[in-house]
Amino acid sequence: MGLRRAAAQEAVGALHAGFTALLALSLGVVLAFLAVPIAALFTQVPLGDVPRLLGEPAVRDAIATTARTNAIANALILGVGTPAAYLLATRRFRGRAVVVTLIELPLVLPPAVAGIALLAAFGSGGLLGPDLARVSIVLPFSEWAVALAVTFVASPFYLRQAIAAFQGVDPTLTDAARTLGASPLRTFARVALPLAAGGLAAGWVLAFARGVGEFGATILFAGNVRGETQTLTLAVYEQLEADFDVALSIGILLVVLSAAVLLSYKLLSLWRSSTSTSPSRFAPSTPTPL
Amino acid sequence: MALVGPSGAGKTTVLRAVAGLHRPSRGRIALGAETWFDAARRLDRPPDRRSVGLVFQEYALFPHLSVRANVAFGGRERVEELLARLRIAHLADEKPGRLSGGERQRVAVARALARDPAVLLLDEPLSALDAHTRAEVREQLADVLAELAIPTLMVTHDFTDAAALAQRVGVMLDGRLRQLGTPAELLARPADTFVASLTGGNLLVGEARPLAAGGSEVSLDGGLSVRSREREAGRVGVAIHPWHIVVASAPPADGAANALAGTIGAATLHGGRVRVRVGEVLAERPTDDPTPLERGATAFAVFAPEDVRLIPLEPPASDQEDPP
Repeated sequence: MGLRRAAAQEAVGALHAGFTALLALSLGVVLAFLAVPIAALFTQVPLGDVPRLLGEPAVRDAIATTARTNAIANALILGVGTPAAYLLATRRFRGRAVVVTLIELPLVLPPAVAGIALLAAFGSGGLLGPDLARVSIVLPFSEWAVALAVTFVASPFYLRQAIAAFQGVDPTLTDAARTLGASPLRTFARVALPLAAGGLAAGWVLAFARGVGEFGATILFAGNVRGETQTLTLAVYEQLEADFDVALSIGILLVVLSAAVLLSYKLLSLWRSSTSTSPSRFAPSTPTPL
Repeated sequence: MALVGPSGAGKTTVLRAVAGLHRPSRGRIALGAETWFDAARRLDRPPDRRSVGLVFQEYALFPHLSVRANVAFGGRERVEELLARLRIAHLADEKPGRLSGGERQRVAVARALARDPAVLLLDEPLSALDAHTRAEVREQLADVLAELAIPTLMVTHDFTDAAALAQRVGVMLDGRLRQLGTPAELLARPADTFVASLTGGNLLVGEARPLAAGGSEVSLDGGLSVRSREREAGRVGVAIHPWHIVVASAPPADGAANALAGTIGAATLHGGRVRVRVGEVLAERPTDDPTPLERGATAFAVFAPEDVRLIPLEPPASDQEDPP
């Protein structure tokens, strides 16, 4: 009896060990597959040459273009996206779910489709293009086209997170602000905005990362003109043929930037969970039945 | 002024409507000559244009602002005066997360007053506190309210809190005001059985019959009977406060007092006194009462006819709502 039991236990133990080994093996495969290409990036070019390669005029132009276009895009995303997200987070109206779904659509849309859609809207033969041309606004293949493409693909990352952040603000706090004499605008600026700040920053970090990495929509809508519409990712594409080492150097630069973005996102999340917006640590009161 | 009632009676809704956070479907809210809300005239002033100070149930202090900034949010002129008056000046630079429940409440009151409101609204001011700080904070709050001399409307589910803090108490059930009066009036003359049980009375039901000698005799549904000084006929609620009942091992010899026989049940400590169940009623006695109380033994709940109040039950008796 005891022996059979011990044998059965041993079999179960072996099974558990086998399963754990399988899990560990899977994790090993995942890690190797994801890490090897990134590590390879750093081995294919002498790291000492990277600063010099990044100093090439073509790369400096791409850095400048990326900085300018992303600055415009991020200003648009934050400036217009924040009030829009606040509205969606705090008001209930018919069609709200449809609006939210529309906002999220660019998240799943192939970037090339985003590019052709932007052309269809603002191109010379497009929906709004001719009207804009009449007032001397020609967007396609300009720096503004890059900014618009970045805004189009990156804004949903910010909007989604911002809606969640504003929804996380305890409504009794905004109610309290109103009963203390604050106008809706002051309530937004002094209570909702500071309490949602952590979430907004996290959303912005994600949108920023997506914007810097933008490629598909930009190349279709803005083209790949050095000094004008060629961002870092587009420069990688061009330098593949011209100078592979330069392409690798830009890759290294973007890996470092992405890692920094990811790290700041993680730190922001940590900071947010430590400064909860909950008004008190009291359990919700349960009035005793009479 | 306090509104008392069980949860779901509509007390908090009344406060939110007065503050402008809830729009009632009908009616009118006015402060003196100033109309804040009138459904008929489609008039609805936003909360920031009503002169109210609302203290929320969980205090709703702004977690990102210091105590001083919380108070200053309502108005900058009186900040230092209010911090001193509510004895929170030493906490001025703390964040609300570091305060105790009683301290948070004082900050919330100071913040509500910083706007110099015409009326102060308190939503369940003590319910967020645990039992042992509650009594202390209740006392402090009573002092503060007495000092302020500002019209105050508070809601609570606890009659004891209302009686301690308010001069007038309104009892609410299902969105309707059942009775309005001083705490003493509500205790002495409850308008209905709900008010009687809310104010802490024992409530029995029976058939009353006027006596020739004055007063009435009530045949209780349980088979026993009691006498009251009040004259009533028909179905009545019989209300007796626990502190009017004495527990005795034998019925009194002269027969002048009521004596209900019952089995001794659970005894609990209640505000420094012992509450013990005898049959259907709760009696109250000092903790040092030497008469032994043995659970399961038979005893008598003895009380005078003048302490028995009779409340006519609204006909038909079957419609009578059981107090929750």
